[in-house]
Amino acid sequence: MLAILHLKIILDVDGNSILDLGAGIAVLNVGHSSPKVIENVKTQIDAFTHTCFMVVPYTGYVEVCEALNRLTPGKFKKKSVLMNSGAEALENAVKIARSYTKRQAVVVFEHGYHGRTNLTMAMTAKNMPYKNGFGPFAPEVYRMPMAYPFRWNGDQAKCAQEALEIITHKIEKEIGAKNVAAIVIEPIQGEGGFIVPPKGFLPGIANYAKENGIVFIADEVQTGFGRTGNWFASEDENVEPDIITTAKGIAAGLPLSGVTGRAEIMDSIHLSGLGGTYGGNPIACAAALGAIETIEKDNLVERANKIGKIMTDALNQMAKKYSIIGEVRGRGAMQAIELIKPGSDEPNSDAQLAIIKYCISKGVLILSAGTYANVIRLLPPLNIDEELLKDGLSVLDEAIASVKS
Amino acid sequence: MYSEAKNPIAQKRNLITAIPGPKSEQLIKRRAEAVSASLGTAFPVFIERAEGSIILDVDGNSILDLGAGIAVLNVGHSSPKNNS
Repeated sequence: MLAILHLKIILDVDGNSILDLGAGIAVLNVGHSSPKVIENVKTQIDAFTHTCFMVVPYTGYVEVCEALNRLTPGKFKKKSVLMNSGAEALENAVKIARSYTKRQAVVVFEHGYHGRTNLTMAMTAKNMPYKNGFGPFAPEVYRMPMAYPFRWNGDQAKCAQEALEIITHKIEKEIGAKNVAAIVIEPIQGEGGFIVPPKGFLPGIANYAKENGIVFIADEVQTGFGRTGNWFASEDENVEPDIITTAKGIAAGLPLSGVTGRAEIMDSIHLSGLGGTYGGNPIACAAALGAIETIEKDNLVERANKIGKIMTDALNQMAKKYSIIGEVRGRGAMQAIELIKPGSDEPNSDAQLAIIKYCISKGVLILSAGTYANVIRLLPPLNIDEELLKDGLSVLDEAIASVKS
Repeated sequence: MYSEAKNPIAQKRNLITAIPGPKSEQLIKRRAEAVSASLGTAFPVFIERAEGSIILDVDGNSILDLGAGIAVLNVGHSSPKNNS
């Protein structure tokens, strides 16, 4: 249990200072106890804590929607709604796409993670721990192969093209494109193991959706708010999703999520069709405005690339030394290593456990990921001090060295 | 955007403009530009702050809240234990 949180360090109840390279799973992009977040939250608590936006509206909600409409990719008029969690944002994105298209099928991907509610469990790929024993799951969810170059069975150099061919074939033959309401994808898969699709894959999916009247939904819950060195990861290949879901980094830990999309899609839902008691709570909105202001004023989007380079340089050095590192991948301040048994591509989950355990013993918090439980992911606060980050990376290096291969 | 308060809000109903007042009217237009039209509104004013059973809107109207944010604020708005 934590006693006090300050910036990039977690102080525990025994007085230990722990270096946080997980940022509460990419939530604290502005770091723990970010001053503007705290100031806004305190001011808001003194004014009012709740009305339900659909009962009596307040300015903070509108301002967060304006910020989302401005910052998300897409040179078209956008509108937003706010919810409480990433899963709830995904639920609503699917509701909106189904109502707008009058279609039912939802296409998702291997290794995808979208949440723990019934529909989003159905959309999530991995059984343990997310789904096991929790079924039955929502129908009309169809899973497609993911363009995952490191584990692609075909020609790795043609992974994007081959994956697109399989996916479009499966959609046409197994679902029928005219039955598909939405294609939902994380531009870089998070829990799945920071899987970065090869160039051309996301634009290919987005174009296919456009040609077939399918709503293209980018789940940017983990990749958003500067994490990948752009405000949103879709920007990397100039993809303009019809709908973007956001959460995590949006409000520095206060529960908030957003659904932002083309105005004609977002406005197509019947009056009072969307909403909820707490969604876009005023305190969470105040935190979001503080977090967004901090990311903008402190140039944290740019900084994600700077600390990303420090991480990739260090991780690539480690990959040269240690044969259990199969791949270093990620973008910006979202970096990972995939661990293998040397001389094969067999997942090495024992190494993952040992590395995390070593890091815990040295006071460095790093997170696991991956369908095969063999990925170490780094998600430091975007404003982490360089020396502190390098200290954490040196502990990771020692941790990998300590693993018997 | 956040009020600097903190004069106590008198616990009585008091309207000084039509509902919605001019400042709420402006914010309603601004909201329509940014927020999905699907979201409803039970009481068409924008809140400034609230205490007990009274909501003070951005035009200075004091509104009697018999909904408590849909049974959320059983202890009233700005209950002291919230911010201590």
